[in-house]
Amino acid sequence: MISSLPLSRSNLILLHEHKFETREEIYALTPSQLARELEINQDEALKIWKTAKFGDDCMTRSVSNLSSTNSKREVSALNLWRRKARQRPIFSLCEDMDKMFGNGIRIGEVTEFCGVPGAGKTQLGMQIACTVQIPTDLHGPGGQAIYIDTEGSFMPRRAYEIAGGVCKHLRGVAAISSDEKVKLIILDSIAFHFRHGFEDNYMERNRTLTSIAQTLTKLAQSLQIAVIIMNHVTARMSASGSGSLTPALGPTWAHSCTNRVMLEYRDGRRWARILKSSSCEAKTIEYEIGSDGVRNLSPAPASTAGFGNENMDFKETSSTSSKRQRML
Amino acid sequence: MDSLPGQCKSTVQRTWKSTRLHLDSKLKDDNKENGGGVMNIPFRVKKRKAQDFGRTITLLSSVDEEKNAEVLSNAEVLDKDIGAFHENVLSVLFPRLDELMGGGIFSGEVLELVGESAVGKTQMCLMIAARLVAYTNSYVAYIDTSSSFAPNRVQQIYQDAAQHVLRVQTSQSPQNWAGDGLDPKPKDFKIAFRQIRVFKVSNAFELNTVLEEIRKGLSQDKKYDNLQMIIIDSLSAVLSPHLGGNEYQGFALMSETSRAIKHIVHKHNIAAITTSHTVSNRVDGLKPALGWNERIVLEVFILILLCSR
Repeated sequence: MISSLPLSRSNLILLHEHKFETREEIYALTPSQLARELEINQDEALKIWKTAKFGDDCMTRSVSNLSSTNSKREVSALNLWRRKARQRPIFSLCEDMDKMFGNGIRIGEVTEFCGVPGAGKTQLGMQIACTVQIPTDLHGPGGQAIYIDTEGSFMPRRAYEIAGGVCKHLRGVAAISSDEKVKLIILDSIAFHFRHGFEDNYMERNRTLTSIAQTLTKLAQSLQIAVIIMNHVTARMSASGSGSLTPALGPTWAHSCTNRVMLEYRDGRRWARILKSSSCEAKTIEYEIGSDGVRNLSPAPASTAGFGNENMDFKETSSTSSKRQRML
Repeated sequence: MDSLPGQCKSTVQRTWKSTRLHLDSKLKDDNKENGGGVMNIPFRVKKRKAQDFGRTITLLSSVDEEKNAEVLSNAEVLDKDIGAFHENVLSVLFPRLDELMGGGIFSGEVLELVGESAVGKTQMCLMIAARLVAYTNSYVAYIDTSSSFAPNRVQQIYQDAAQHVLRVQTSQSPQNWAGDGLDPKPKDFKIAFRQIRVFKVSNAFELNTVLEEIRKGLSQDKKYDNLQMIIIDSLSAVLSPHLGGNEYQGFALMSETSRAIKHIVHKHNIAAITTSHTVSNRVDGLKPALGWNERIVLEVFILILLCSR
């Protein structure tokens, strides 16, 4: 049926006026015949002809050649499993968080981090943008990152510090060189532009958001990269009148991401909790942010109870604790 | 053949209905405690005899002699038609859920799982797929629109399901298996994984293309001979952006998809499972994202999953 093809409204009306009803009728003609029949130019007719012949959106097919033929879209679960086993994981250098996700940041999926301001979303984003560049010689992903900053929160100086922390972790091994392939996209944040301006038109907002999510999912799946999205939180009032924090952008957006992590910041402590994931258990871990970036919680200070030395800071510096981390 | 009298539809056991089920968010734990010895035989092949069907029609029309003869003759024709038609019932879940669905998941029927975010829709789909390939040689087509098919997780679920089979087996003698062609010994997951064909789609147009491809493969090329189930996770993710507002193709796309699914399911006696998310507002409360219109098009059996937090 023609009306279910990805054609513009004007083209659909045109086809309808010329009594075309099925796809077969369109591609039975050659593009030039079609152009003459519909009284449009050759390019336009060719686009319509291609769409009728192949069914799906020609625009998206040209973007990712991986799904250019139907047979490439289908794969057995076994091959997926094998491909997953061969993948180089993207580690965030916060060991607990990597374990929470199974084996590092999920590749091929869209992960959403939401949290109050100050929870550490941007810090985490900058850090992962650095770690994704760890070269393959050191068993890292060796890829580039695209950081989309919608709220101006990316601070180059801080990114420099964090990159320094990553290098320290690698024991100062030489220059980070990566191949040209992008392995990570970070969107910080999705919420900023969508929270206001759509008051009258939530449907429009939801549609736009869902189509953004679809595009990102497609990129993640077809190019096998990790996509990370930051989101804000908002208060939800329950029937009893008490409020709780929930991710912003509503329930429709909740379905869009494959994984969802809530970053909480209470009493000076930071927690990461999986809200939704198809492959990870619901877990909560604690982490901390030091000068080198986001790391596991340092071990508790050695017991000084008998000495009254509360003022002494036994907390290990990030560099020593990062030496403890397993080498990538 | 004249169309059947209207009453017959309601006497058949499977009817369109929607049920509400209160599910705890910890699906896996619940299943574990019900799994083991309590779980029913995993796969039953139920051949619905045409005579049963005919008998039911006779009972209804015993009032009017003339009508009776007419209906009986129709029933005979029907007998031949559906004599070869048997329904497969896949009981893959824990007993309470099976009971709710009248025995399990039926072939030739569409089951829709509707629920809020993170309630367990994807997990249920993965579990059903894992069990089907664990116990049979059937193929499953898993159409994944939101990267929810995670191979490691499915491996985990599969190995768990395989353990349950062993536990049930040791407690029951082989004669209790009511299926033919069943392989009681669970196979290695790598072999089973070959039976799950994953299709990655990211928009409604691709979904329709894939469904068309499956339809062609089934009827013309015989490519998908052993296909017993299609899972679409999630249907609403690809269709909802096209509904409402200035979108001009929403209903066309939705009916095209429904038509394609229905065709495959009815013609080839395949079971289909789709998932859909919910939207809520203060006026209507919780409702399926695709609205109630589609239900009329599709004749689905709906399972609404709620989560208590």
